[in-house]
Amino acid sequence: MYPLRRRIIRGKCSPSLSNQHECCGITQGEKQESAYRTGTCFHRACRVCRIYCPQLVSQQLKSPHVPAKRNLRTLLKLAGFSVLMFGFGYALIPLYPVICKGLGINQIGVDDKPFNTQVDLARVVSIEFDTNVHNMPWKFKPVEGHLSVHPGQLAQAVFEVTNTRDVAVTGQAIPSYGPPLAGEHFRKLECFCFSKQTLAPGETRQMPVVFVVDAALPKEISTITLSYTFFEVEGNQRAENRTGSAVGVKKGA
Amino acid sequence: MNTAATTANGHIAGHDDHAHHPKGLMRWVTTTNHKDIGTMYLWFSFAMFLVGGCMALTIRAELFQPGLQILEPERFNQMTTLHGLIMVFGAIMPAFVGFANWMLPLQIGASDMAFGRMNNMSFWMLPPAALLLTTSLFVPGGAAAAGWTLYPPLTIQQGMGMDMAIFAVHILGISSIMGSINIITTILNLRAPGMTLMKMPLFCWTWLITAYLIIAVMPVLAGAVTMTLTDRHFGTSFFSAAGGGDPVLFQHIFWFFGHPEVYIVIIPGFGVISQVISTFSRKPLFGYASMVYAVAAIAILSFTVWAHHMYTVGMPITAQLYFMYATMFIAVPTGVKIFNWTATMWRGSLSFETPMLFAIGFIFLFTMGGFSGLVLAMAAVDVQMQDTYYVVAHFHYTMVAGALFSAFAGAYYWLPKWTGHMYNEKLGQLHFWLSFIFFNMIFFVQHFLGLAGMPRRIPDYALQFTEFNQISTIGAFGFGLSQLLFLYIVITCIKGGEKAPAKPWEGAEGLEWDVPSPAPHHTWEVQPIVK
Repeated sequence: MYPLRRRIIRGKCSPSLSNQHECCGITQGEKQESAYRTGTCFHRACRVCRIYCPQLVSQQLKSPHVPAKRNLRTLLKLAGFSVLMFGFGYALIPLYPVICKGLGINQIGVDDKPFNTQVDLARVVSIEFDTNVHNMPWKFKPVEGHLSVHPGQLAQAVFEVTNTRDVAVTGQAIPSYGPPLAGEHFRKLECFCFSKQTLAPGETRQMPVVFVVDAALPKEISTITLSYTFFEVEGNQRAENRTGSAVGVKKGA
Repeated sequence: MNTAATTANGHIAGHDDHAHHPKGLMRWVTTTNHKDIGTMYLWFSFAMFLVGGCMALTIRAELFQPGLQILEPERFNQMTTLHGLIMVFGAIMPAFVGFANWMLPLQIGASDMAFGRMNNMSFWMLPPAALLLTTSLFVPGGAAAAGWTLYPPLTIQQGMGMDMAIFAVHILGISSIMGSINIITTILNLRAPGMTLMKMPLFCWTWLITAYLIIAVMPVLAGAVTMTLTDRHFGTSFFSAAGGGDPVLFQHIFWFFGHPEVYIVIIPGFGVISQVISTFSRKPLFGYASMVYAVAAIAILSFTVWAHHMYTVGMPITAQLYFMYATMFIAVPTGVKIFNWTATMWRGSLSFETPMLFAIGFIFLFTMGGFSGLVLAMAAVDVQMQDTYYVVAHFHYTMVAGALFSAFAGAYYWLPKWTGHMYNEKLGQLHFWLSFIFFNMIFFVQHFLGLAGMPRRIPDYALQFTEFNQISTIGAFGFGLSQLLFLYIVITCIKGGEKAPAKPWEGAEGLEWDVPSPAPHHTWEVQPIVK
């Protein structure tokens, strides 16, 4: 674990001195390097001649006070550093605004715009609309035939329905999905199919469907067909337009 | 890490011909001997520990019941402020500087610290600072009452007690900077031949890193309080909003100092614990090099996390996220240390003398403090928890069970070397168990208080917090009284007891055990050669 880099201390050494090391007995020039590396010799190299000098070593060994000059240098460096840090404390006053501006993170005054993290922007699902009426005098069509949405995104589709008869008619829309599996991932928040719709004679109405296709929709499904069929709710109609028994009323589920 | 050490000329113990120093009081005033100065540091820090402890007990007594009983709210705030300042700057930091003075030269085979006179001066600056802090309680307007963090605008508005606190912080800061320069120079320049950096005991390594931290951040604190001072008296407006200054900026500057400061408090303790665990496990420390790198990593990272103390002051979300993740990252090197200590004990030949008990108590409780720190590091959670007793519980787990317990571990570990006598082992263990139990009694319940929303630094509280506060207060008095037992143990150990051999602990390694016990006035005048 002895460091391979040699420590070099300042000073002069005299080559005329005995070239045998006091502490390890190794003669200069012989096996120094390996002795030094294995940690059996602790001699330091002279700055001038770059060889291990017994004089420098013996001084160092005999008096621990020799490195006083070196200590003073360390002291001055460290003291200088602490003075610098004192200045740094003051420098922080102008630095903070500059750094915040430079990094562009100082948005405290700016309102946070909330956004929906649940929208999967990587996927697009096409929603096709299909409309039917079952034995009804109504015209029923989507305003737009299809929509492209991201899973998780809130979307709205509008349907238009017209009563072509001269009496009020009540109907109930029943949805179905293709593929049927998509139905459980198609979450409607608002739909005209949630309740019966009664249209006055000749009335035209636009009706919204608000929905989210949830992100758990299987990856292989890229198109969902949403189909609505309006059924006439006969009970209501009969109360207004027909006479007879009230037996056998069937309602759309 | 030290292998066998020998001296070039054989070791000479005790030099009577050097004993020309003055006797009596002047010996202590004029001494440049690292052992004398270390002793003075340790006694000073213990005295300040008792002073700060009395303040803590006053706080706890007030909080025994809801309502105001013994303290005016202003006095209560002064108590919390001074308790913090005295414990951090007067008790814990000088205690570890005391350890450093005593042990560093012995451990690296140096005859003394590099700058003896500066060493003397850095100690003797402490008593005036302590006087400034304590006597400020009696000046008109009372002592500083803005919390140890000294936040404006309170610091700009308070009376002369605040000026005294600012000067005290200046003096304590200069003293610790001088101490650190001394420690770094000693470690870098005065190591015995063959004592390479990576052979040094961990206590030396942790102090080397701590000393660099002190030099880097203490001047920043000095700058911050100087700015406060000029805002108060010389018409500047660094932090005074009335003149266009920014009070929040103070918090940024303060915590740039403050977060490294909490590591300054704990890192020397890491060194003590590393040595104690290794000694009483009779095994070399597991992962020595990784310990050194982990401490260095903690020290460097400590500069990058300061704003986790101030999530709620108004900070961009980007910055909150950065500080959150950076803070959590510190758990990695800290975890390295905890695992290394555990691995050192693993299949070791363990014995449970008092230092080891404190060390194991340290690992256990400090880890808990670390975990509650991770909870507080989460910006979203911290909005709820900050300034509650949860924070108080968290940092006392790291400061008391961390720094203080490691100081106790170190004190028991090296007392035989200092005094030449073994301390009373039974009483020492009793001291540990009393401290351990009462500590948890004080602070464990404070987690619940904090989670339930009890704010810190308020002398009164809602009724539903009463029971936990009473448990905490009883624990506090128990803990405080237990420390008198420590004083008794130390005094009896100085006066007599079983003679301690040079190496009283079977598994201990290091140069400090090669000098006799008690360590003579002068040691390692001829440097040993470490192979």
